Amino acid sequence: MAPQLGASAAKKRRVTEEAAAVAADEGDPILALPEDLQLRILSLLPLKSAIRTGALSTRWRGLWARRWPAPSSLDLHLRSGVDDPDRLLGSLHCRGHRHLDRFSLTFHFGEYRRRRLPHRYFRDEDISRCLEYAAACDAEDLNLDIADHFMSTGSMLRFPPACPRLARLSLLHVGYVTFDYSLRSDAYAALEVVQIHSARSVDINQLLPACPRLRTLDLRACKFLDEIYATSPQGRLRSLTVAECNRVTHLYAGLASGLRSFRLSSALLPIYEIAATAQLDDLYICLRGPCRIYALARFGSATCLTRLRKLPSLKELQLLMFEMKSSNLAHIYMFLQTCRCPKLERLFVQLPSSSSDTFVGNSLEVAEEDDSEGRHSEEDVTEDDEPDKELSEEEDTESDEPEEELSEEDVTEDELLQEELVQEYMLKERPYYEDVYEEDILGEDVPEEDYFEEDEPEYDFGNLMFVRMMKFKGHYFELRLVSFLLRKATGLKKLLLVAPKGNLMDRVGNDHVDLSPFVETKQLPFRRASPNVQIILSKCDSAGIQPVHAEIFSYF
Amino acid sequence: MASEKKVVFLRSSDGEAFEVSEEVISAASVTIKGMIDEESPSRADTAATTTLAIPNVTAATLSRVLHYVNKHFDAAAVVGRPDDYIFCAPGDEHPLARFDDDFVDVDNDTLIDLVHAAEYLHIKKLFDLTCKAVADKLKGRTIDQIRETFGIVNDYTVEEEVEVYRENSWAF
Repeated sequence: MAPQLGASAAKKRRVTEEAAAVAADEGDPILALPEDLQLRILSLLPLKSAIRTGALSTRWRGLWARRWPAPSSLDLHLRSGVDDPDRLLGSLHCRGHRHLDRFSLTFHFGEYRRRRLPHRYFRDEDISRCLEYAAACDAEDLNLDIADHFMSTGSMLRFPPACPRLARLSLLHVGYVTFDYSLRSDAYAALEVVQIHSARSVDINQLLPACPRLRTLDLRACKFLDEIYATSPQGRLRSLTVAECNRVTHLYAGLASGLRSFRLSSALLPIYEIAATAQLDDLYICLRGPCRIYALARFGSATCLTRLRKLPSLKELQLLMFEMKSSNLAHIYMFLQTCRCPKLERLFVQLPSSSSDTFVGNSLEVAEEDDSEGRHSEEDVTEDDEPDKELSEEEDTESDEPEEELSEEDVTEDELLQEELVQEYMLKERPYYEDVYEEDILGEDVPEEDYFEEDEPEYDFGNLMFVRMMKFKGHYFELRLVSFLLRKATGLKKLLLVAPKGNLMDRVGNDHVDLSPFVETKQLPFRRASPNVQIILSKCDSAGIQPVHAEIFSYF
Repeated sequence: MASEKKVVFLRSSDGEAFEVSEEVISAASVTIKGMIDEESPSRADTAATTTLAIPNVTAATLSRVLHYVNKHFDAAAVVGRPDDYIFCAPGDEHPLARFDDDFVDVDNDTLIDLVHAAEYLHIKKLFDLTCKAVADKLKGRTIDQIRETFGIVNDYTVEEEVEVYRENSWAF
């Protein structure tokens, strides 16, 4: 009986859904047309506009993809030596030059070890002819991925001289690519999105001047690049990403006055120039030195920030910390001070991993260094032995609190089974934050132009509502950053501290602990500017609010 | 010659009859030309004018269509190439470009009715013009603007919508 009831209910539901769909169509004059007319209208749109109609309603979804009678999207996956290049070119020839929405060519590892191969390898001419074919079909979305290393490193491709309808170009793992267009600037008149990843050499500075409509430039892991002139003639560039292109020394986007998103990650510190009028609402900068890591440290040194005086529309900021010590703190403060971000709403901080991380010095140890008149050198951070010993020394000088060790490695399960210990854990280093504050800021790495945060009372944090700190271990400088934010962010609603895996939160058993009641008490003597702030110490935050860049730079 | 100029009457779906020169409408509409050709043997010896029923097109739309057809025929006669006007795309530097622009500058329902009529009557030039006009309303606008223009109700769930955007994120 029950299944029948369920079935009839489902049927009823389907009927009402259909009725709703009909009703929806009545309100939608285009969908009321016969489908061939709908498709006819969609075929008059450029690919980008056609795709966007898919978001109008469920009945529009995917309609655009059928707008051409024949398959208008070719997605070819080829293996060199296994698939026959001549046959491919022959079948393309047979297809003729009918319009193509998308042309995607992906090469996979072929069979190189077998002695006798059924077919010859794909050569550069073959790939170039495919590209020419795509251009001849007015392909609007062109994707080339030579994932195969054998071919990619050596391939030399010459791009077709003009692709006036190309809207998106994606080149992955390609070798040498040159662009050979006539001087008319409309060779790539419709090109809006350029993505080049893991290419050996692409003549990007040749391409860009011919792209008057360029909106998004995304360059990743392109080791060859040294100078990038992201100056599209019309200044339409909205988004610029240069990630892991470690040879980049100069990055010019001085004319891109409409830039909204700027993302840069590199091992070196390139000189970059951003239009002074650009109102960024998405900024990502991550710089690492070749041996030691300075994420914000170098970032904060005023040379590279001169062009980033103001970020009036910045809403979200994500800081990836590879180290956390006094100079890093000072640079964060300095950054927040020089680049006023009155609209900043969300702040994400990724703290260094545990001391076993090769990138990261043991922050416990760093705290100790600062305490002991900071004779601080590169080697210090590498000597990783017996942090707990150093810690106990620290404790002796600072307080007479119980004798549990601070370092999470040494905490036994029994000791941490009770919730109070979570707070105790956090409080271990508490005494430092008040009294050592000032001399710490003047650590020897700190450039002279840095100020104390106290000197400058004006931080525009009125809109800051959400802060998340990943890998929070309760270390000294982490707590100082927490304290700083609590004192300055007048509108803060939630402060989420996420403990790293395998840390104490695992043993406590709870998924999260609300620390709010302890603030401004003896246990957490932080001042807070926002009376309603909620402070959560959590085990994981997989489903929580993610920063914009979570996916893009997930490999950090 | 002038005395032999034949006219036909077209009766709209709501019963209104419109007079139009046979020469004009035959040049413009493949459908009506076919209807006239079918009729012609039976009326060769009578002087009575023919009335053709156009059951799919309302009077309001039909009068617009005939306005368009006459205007284009006259303009083509002036230029002296009666057949060429079919191939003039809107936007060309053609005397009718402005007329065409104004002609399709109408509300959505009227425009969609014109698409229907042009398709049914097989008036290629008008069909292209009206389809292009609809496409232009879909182009270069935000999703919300398009929804508002055509009264489209967004029935996506949040998850579905996110997925649609992610499938082709570059276009958004």
